Amino acid sequence: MDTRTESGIPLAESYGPGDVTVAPEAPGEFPFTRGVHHEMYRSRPWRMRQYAGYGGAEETVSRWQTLIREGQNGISCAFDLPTQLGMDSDDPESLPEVGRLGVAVDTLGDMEALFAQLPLDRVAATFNINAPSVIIYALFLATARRQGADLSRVTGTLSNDPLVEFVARGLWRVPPRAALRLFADTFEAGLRNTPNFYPVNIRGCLFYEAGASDIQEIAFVLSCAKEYARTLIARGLDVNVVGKRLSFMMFADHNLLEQAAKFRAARRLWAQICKDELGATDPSAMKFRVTAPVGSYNFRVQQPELNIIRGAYGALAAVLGGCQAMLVAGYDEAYDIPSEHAALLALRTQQILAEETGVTKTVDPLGGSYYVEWLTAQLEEQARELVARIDGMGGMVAAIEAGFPQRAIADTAFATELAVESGEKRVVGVNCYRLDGDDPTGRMPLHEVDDSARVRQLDAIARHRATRDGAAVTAALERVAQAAAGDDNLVEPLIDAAQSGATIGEMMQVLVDRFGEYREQFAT
Amino acid sequence: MLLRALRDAGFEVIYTGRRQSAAQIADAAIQEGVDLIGLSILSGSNVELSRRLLDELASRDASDIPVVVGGTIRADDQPQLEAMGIAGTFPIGTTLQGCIDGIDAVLARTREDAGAHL
Repeated sequence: MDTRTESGIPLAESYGPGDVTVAPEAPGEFPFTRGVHHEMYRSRPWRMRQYAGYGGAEETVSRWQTLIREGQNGISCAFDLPTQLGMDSDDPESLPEVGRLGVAVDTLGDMEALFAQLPLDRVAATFNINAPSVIIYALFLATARRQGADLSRVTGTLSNDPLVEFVARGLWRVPPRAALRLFADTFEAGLRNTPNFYPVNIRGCLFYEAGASDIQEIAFVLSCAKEYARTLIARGLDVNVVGKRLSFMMFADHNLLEQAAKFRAARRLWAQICKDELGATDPSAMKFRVTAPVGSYNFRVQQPELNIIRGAYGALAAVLGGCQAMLVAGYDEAYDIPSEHAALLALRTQQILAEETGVTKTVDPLGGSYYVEWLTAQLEEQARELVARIDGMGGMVAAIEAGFPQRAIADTAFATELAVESGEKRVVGVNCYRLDGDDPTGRMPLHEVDDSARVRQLDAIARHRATRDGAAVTAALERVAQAAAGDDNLVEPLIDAAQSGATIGEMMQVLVDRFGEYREQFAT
Repeated sequence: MLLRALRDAGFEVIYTGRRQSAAQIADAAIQEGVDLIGLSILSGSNVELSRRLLDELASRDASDIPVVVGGTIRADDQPQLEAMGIAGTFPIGTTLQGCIDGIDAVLARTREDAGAHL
């Protein structure tokens, strides 16, 4: 029997009153261990927004409509890889990936088509995209204005977290310090134009999915957040305003109690950092508002139906941890993006939790558990030490430039994989309770890859290029270049460029020409 | 992760990094004189991306370098990959040891083929 937690914290047989050194405050009170709201799910359940999108606008809107009809409140847009890199569909390097893992967006018209039936002041939309986020925000704002939406009522979230890409996922374009400029332009324009929209969602989950431990996930996400907050404060923004528009995403794995403790620890540590280090005075600006993705690396190919069960435990962990929003992966996602059937099962997993289990009826039901309070404090302390170590390196950007978080995650991921392969860490269906000879593909309706969406997208961009006013595009892109060369916010020039017909790829190229293209550093 | 496992198993590994184009990979492989190329593709586009790399190798007269592919590979992709000449596939769920053994087997086969041509 392994007597350590997944994070490697040694465990005693049981815990008692003497192990709880921090008496947790009431829910909704600083430092928010027990949740960022007094009433939590008693006033309304978490937001259910499944990550969805593929092909073009037609396929994507159809999937979104299904999910909304079946009870999801808001949408979470999956962009294809070229779009996430700020590349056009007709770029030769883009072709195999157009519309493959998300929706292809090349022009303002593509963005408007996604929201033709969805008024942005009524449907909360989450945009999961980092490297070209300033361009995506420009398209989003232009779309909302075109719709005549009441901008003060536009809600939703843009991930706009470029730093995580250098460590964990690889969808970078410009180098880290330039990426901070694009981040900050986006955030500032977000505050000014859509004050109830979250212009950043800092993605701890991507560190975790790359193999980070819970402690590393907390420390790295908070170190990124400090870097972003300091950048904004240096621009003269008020930390009490900034803090209210920061949002986070933390992975909810299915090792239930440690995950709940992780969310509690992250909230408590962030609130203290905001108060003690960033100078916030308004408690509302110290809240760690968090979305929990459930299911990814821990969803296995073997006996894939078991992932439904893992998803249910992960979703429970997220709720016991006090998340504000959740998305659950399809049980078939070790094979492909989810089929409609799998996406619906994942949404129903959340709905059963909200409607049937009763976990929503009282706030922070684990609060006061000797073990969970002790574990919360352990995770908080160890994460605090790691944050201090990154501070000692000069902050998260300097740490990334030195390759520190990259190496730390690689070490943890490698050790975890070896533990799975040796059988020390048991995974049902993978290294124990295997069904040898089991072939699940026949009983699982996988996502159908349909090339016609790609053909339509390529036709559309060819038509677009042929019919626009080339001179107007060139002039508008030149104004983007001028803004990039100086300190002017990029969002309005980008809106002008998009309205003149410039594509995402052309706008991104102007930024890359100005700021350079990041080259990966290897830890050898 | 695989990089470490292969190095621990005694391989010399040149990692070109993420998001490399087929042409970049082919150039690097020829320049470094490698015995085998391993592609990691998690997007599911393994058939098209593998074909691109094989084409780039062929255009450089380097089709003798065996190519293996790991990642999100669906069962229906496997016959296509084999038919185009991919020497080994390691779908998600393959262990590190499974990759090492598979690469060893491909290299042994390549050496035998080379011997047969002498």
